[in-house]
Amino acid sequence: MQENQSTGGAPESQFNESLCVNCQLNVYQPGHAINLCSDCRQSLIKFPVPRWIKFFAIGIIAVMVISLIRTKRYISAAIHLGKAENAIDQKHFVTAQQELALVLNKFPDDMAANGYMMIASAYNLDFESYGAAYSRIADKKTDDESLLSRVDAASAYIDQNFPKDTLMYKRIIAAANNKEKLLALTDSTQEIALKTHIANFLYELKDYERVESIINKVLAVDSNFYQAVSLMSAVKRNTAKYDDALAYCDRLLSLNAEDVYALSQKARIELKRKHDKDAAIYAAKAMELSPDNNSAIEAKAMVEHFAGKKKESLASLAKIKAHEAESGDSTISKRLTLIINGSEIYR
Amino acid sequence: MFIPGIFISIATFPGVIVHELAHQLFCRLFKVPVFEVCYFRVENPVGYVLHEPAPKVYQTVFISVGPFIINTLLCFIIGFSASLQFKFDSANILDYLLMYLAISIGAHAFPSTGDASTLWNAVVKSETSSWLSKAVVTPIVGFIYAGALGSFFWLDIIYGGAVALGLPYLIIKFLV
Repeated sequence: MQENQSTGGAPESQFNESLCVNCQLNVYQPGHAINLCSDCRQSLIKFPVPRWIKFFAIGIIAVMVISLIRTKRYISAAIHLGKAENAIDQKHFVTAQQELALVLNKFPDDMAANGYMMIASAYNLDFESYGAAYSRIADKKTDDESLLSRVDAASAYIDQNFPKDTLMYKRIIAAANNKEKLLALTDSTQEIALKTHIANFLYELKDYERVESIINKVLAVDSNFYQAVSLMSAVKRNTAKYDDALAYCDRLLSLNAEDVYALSQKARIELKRKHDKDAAIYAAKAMELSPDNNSAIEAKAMVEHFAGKKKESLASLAKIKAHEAESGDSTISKRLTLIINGSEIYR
Repeated sequence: MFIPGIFISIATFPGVIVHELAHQLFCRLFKVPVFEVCYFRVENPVGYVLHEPAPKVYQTVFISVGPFIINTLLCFIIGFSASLQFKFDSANILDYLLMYLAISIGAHAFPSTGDASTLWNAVVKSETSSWLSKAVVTPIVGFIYAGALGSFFWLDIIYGGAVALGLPYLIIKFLV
């Protein structure tokens, strides 16, 4: 308990009441609660702060300055982390991942940043970033139940893309170009990831009716299964059911408002029905979010191609090929080449 | 858990020093003579400032609630310089020291019942104070007593922690 007490003076019998109560030498200044002379009043107003208190304050200020210098980088990291948290709340997972990359540059082992990175990269289907974040915090413990439950949900989301029956997966791969074999395998598995793989190969063989039938069964099990929804959108596009195709893209965007694939797919759908202006908007959005994403570059290349910008579309194709040289997957460049060189009539 | 206030005051003595210093600085600001200052001692009250009654009501109020302003401000500034390090699990000994200082200072932000009593006697009980002054000061005194009561439930320490650790996080949230 501390106090501030205004005093009523210090009555003592020897005091001359007409003199200053403090020094008893000078006449006091009238008009104040306590009778002090001018000199005493001035000196008591400036009652000295002891030297040790001044040193104490200087010590605190010195430590604070050092800490504030260090705090600068923490502030920027905290702001990026805050932005990432907000972006995740709004399902803007690309933005979240970009913000988290900035945090992890400074604090690679931070639990919260890695946890959020697992969430963002899972919904972006960025397996590499997800794995890297996971490996950094796999052995760490946290009491943040909310973060843990969100990480678990994101992990389940990304995990569903991996087939569990690897033997069956190999059999499906082996039957990739054989429609009869693929159809025979369809009922041999209940795993939706494998069924979607079969549907994917049938899509390549342009058997859209059967793809739709399989995917409907998959969506009956999990209406938000990413690979199935995106495949269904492609089927609807190729069967000229453009509004349905766009609706499936919107379903993907409800899971991840910055799904670059879904935006690129929307651009391709709009191009197919010759809504080139809308297509250009979606392609630009996709490119803005992720300029190095092959789906985004493909959408941009197609917009350029149908706008008669041959040089630009070829440059985009070359960019995709350069990316594919690293990944080894040339699916996008192959289908885009056919459209750009006129071998395939897209619309 | 009940811990006698004197032990908490000893453990958080930097806050007591700043509290008394705040009273003294507000006295100096309003040109009120100060006769004696005890920045810290191991008995009740753990610190005090003896000064001439301030001539104006608002000065009396500010001298009494000065620690609330100064301690809170210092608690926030010192806490801010260390709190984010805790957020990123990279606090070092310096940060722990600063956080201890910040919470100690914040914990002594509430004016004491002695301050409330001074305010009550100088304003509410005074025949020269206006009704408006009394109407303004009465809830302040009530607030101070409520704070003193809350200290039984560690409200003072919770307040220090909230200002030192919670407020910086809130500000970052607003900056985003």
